[in-house]
Amino acid sequence: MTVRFIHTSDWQLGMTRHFLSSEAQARFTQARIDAIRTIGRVAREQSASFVVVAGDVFESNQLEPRSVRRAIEALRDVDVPVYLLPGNHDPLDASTIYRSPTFVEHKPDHVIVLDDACPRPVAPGVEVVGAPWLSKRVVKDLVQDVTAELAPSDSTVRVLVAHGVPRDPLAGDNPAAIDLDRAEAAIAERRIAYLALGDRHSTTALGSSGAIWYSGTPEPTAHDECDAGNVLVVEVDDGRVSKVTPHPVGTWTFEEEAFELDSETGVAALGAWLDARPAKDRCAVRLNLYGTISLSTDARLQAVLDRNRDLFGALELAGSSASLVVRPDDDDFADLQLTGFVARAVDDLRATATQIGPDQRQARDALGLLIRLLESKGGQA
Amino acid sequence: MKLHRIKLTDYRGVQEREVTFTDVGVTLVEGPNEVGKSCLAEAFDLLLEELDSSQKRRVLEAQPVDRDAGPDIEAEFTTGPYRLRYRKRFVKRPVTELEILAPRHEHVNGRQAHERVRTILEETLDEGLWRAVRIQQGTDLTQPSLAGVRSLAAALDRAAGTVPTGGEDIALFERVRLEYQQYWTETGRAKQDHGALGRVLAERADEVGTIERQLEALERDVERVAALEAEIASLSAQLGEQQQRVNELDGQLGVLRDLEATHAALVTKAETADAQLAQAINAAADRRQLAAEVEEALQRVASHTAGLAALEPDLVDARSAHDADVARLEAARRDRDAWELLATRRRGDVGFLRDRADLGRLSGRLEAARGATAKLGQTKQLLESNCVDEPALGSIRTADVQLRTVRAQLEGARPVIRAVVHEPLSLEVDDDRIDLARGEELQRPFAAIARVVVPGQLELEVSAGAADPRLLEKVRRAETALAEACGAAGVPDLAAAEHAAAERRRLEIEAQLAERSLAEALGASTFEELATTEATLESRVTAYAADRPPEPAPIEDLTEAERQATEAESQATRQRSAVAEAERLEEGSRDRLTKASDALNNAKAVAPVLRENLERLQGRLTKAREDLSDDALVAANLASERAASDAHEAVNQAQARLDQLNGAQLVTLAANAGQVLGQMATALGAARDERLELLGGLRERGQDGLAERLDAAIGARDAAAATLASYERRAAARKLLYEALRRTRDEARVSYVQPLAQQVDALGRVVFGPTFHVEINENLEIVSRTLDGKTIPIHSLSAGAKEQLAVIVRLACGQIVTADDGGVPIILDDVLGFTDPRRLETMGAVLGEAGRTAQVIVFTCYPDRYRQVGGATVQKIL
Repeated sequence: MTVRFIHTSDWQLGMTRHFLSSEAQARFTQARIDAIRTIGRVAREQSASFVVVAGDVFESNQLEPRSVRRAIEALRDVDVPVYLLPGNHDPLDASTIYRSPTFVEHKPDHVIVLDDACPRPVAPGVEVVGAPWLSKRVVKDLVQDVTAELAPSDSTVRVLVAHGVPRDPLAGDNPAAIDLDRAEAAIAERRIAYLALGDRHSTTALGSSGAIWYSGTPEPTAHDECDAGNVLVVEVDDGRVSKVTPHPVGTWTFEEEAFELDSETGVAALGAWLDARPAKDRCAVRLNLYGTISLSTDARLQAVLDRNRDLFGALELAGSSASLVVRPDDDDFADLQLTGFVARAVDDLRATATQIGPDQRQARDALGLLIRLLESKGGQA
Repeated sequence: MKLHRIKLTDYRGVQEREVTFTDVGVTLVEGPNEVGKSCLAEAFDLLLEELDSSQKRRVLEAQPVDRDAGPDIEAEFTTGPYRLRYRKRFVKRPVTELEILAPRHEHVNGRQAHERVRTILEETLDEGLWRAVRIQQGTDLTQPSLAGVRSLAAALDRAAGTVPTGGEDIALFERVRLEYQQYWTETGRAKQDHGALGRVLAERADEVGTIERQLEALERDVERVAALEAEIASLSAQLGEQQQRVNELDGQLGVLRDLEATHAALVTKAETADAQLAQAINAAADRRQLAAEVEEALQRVASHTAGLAALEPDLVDARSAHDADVARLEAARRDRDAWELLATRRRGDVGFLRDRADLGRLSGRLEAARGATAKLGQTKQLLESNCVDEPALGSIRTADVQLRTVRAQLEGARPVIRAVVHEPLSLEVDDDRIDLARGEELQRPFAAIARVVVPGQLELEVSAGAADPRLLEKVRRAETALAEACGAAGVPDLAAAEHAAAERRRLEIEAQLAERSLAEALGASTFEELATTEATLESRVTAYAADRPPEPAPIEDLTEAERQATEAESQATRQRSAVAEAERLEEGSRDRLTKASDALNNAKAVAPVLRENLERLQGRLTKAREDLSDDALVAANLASERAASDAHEAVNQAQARLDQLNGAQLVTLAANAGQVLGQMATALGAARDERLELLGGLRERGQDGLAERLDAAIGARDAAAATLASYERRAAARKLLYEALRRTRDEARVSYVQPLAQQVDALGRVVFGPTFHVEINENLEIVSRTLDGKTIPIHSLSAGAKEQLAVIVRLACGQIVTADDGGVPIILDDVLGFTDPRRLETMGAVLGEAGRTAQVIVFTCYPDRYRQVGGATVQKIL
């Protein structure tokens, strides 16, 4: 007998990214809602009989009712049962969103909250078991607790849905960390067939049996995710996991790129790279710019950035701009043929602009402004 | 620029007029007012500025009123490298002609010519300077506005050795200032926009803080609910256990209560038995007591009867003893009275005898006193007749001695016969016979004549001459004194005086003796007192003798009388003691009599009472024995003792069982367990209530969407912060740029102000003298003038001085900016109207001096004003 289901997690509905403009944030939010429908489509296409969501369905328990209703509205479009697990972001505590009036009132029957560790039969010989977070601070290995209560069974396929980080002997003792060795043992003893994990946003296989996976988030959320934007289609044959297939569903990309801008060509390369990005409105770019540029080059750089800022989902400069030095050089002023007191003021400002000091940046700004005023005057003439 | 020539045709009132100007130096254009001299300057402006087709008012006004012709202006001037001849006719048949004479000859006409001139002028003429240095009639004569005059600035820069400052720089500075003013106020403070952005940020941050606090509160409630749920589970378990414990203890308490009830019943029973036993014992004791009382009453009756019999003889004895004591008392009283009477008589006799003796002695003393008094009287009488007392005698004696002394002196003064005889000799001196032994000396004074005769042998007469009269007077006075003293004493001479004095002394002694006798007789009393006493005594003695009864016989001897009186007195005293003793004895026996009588009467009264008591007690005993015999009483007593003993044994057994159960501990434990149960139930209830309440609150707040709102608020705050930071960055850049430019501009100005000031000073000293100095600010305005060390602000100067300075500054500009550098002619239209003649001379010198390097054109209708301008070319109009 083959059982096929979808493993996903970390939808983080209601998440806000402050580097996004409000307009981009709206697109980002919508993408995460759309991902639910996409998952429903994949389930249909792959003939999956149910969906498990391994925690962090919601970014927080404290969401606006309209956000909850939108999520539920999307869930209605999924044809198969969807099992939601409370994770560390949306724990089943006293303020849990899963018992909020909005959720309770609108939740369709095929959406089931794994609010305890009882096995739930989903099909003949198939059970889903949840290890829900009951508070933000879990102080034990929930996987171990739940598997200890389950009797080994040859006839029943159990999918354990859990949330958290794997135990790492090197990373100190997190009491909530999941002991993978024990989890593997539970699989070997046929207490469970598959451990569906959430928390890590990148799709990751763990352990030796191939039956422990992090699905990752269906829509990327950060630059440091290496393989996000997937859902897993899991197949279980004769009580054992036979195949796990990632299906890309994400629409957003998070890109990070470094550019050396010592010359005009560097700025040109940056411009070309930005132009080449596809689907810019769903692309969050983080740039690492370094090198030393003149004021006029900087003006061109700013122009390139300004032009692209409205196109991209986000266009941010990594860290401070300390690695990118704007240095007023002679070329900036040679064409202007400044004389008299203006020339002297420019000399003063350039001296300030090239020395490390409190007014350095202001001096650069002042020089930039001066150049702009001179150029605009020239343009008028 | 240099102006060479202007020709006007049909211009206002001028039909045709041509004026030429010297290239360097002063050209004076003279003419009456409104005749055309001012037209020259105006016409030159029209030529340069207006198109020939212009219909502007200033153009139309230039038309001659009496001719139908267009005003025609032609000027020849050099500007930059160009030398131009330029002509325009306006209004009627307009014409524009331009002939470029240098550097390359060229003709241009019409509009093109106009444009060409504008281009050339723009290129070569500093219009700012042109406008600044011109003084036109009818305008206020003020300082030129030199700031921003490009050619002047350039010239000053050159003079100061700096790079020239172009008009573009000034324009740029103005633009920077406009930028600066968008962010900063005139005084360098941030504009309101900045504060508004800051407030927006603060509001956004507050909003974030508010939501964060709400979220924190919510988190706390969530954690509290989790804690409460753990507590509720734990309390529920504990409550069950405690309930079980309470039930167990309640069972044990039931057993205890049953046992305690049994024990209490037994105790009651034992107490009843004890009471019955006590009753039996009391009954036996009562019986014994009653029997004893009967016995005692019997004895009392018997002893009383015996006592009564003994009392009768006592009474008889007492009565006889009392009678005897009364008789003895009466006898003693009689003896005492007899002795007391005798003693009285004897004391009377003694008094009488004493009085009589006293009377005798007193009479004697009175007699002696009378005698002494008489003697004293006689003596005193004699004394009164003899007045030769001691002082009188002394006076007489003294007078006598005095007399004899003076006589002796008289005697001594007389001649003395002195003779010593060697053989016994008898001689006669003045008839006195004197026998002298051998060796005896005769010394004999004499008065007047002495006659010494030795009989037979010698007769010798000695004559003495006269005696000293003073001595004779002394003698006479002494004799008188003696006679007076004797006369005062009543005696004839000293001898009589001596005698009388002795007699007087004797009388005085006698008087003393008589006084002493009187004093002795009187003692301490006066004569009268003694006489009174004598009378009293006499009457007393007489009275006693008369009253004295004859018995007993009087005794004449005082001593005997006194002895008998004393004896009678002591006898009376003894008898008084005897009477007191007899009274005491009588009182004692009377008392005994009374007591004996009372005792007998009492005993007789008590006897029937005692008998009655006896009968009553005997009755009670008989009655009690009839009710219960003494034997029956003893038997009942024994039975009660046994019953009480049995009851107590039962109580002890029950108590032992109770002790085994340790009831006190059990009760305490049960009570405590119940209390603990209650506390647990209360705590559990409280925890459940709190949980429900918190859940209710959480459900409500869960709908608030705090997390999303926080995200939105943080976004808004960060945006506000970014806006503010960006604003501040722009503001800071503008401030820095503006301040840098202003600083360098001011520095540049300060440096090029110097050459202008020097030039003004040089010209001004011609007018005002060597101490003249001006202060010029960065805007090239004269701020103050210093003269003779006194500095006066420009606005405080007189109109004349201001006018002179205004001219001097323009001339200085003309000197500094040469024609090659865009310099312009200095055109002065009838200036120096406020200047006095002396200053006109010096100003003339200044104009002449300026004319050496610059082209100066002066229009005037007062030629006298400018007579003093050296080297001036004069052009007259009309």
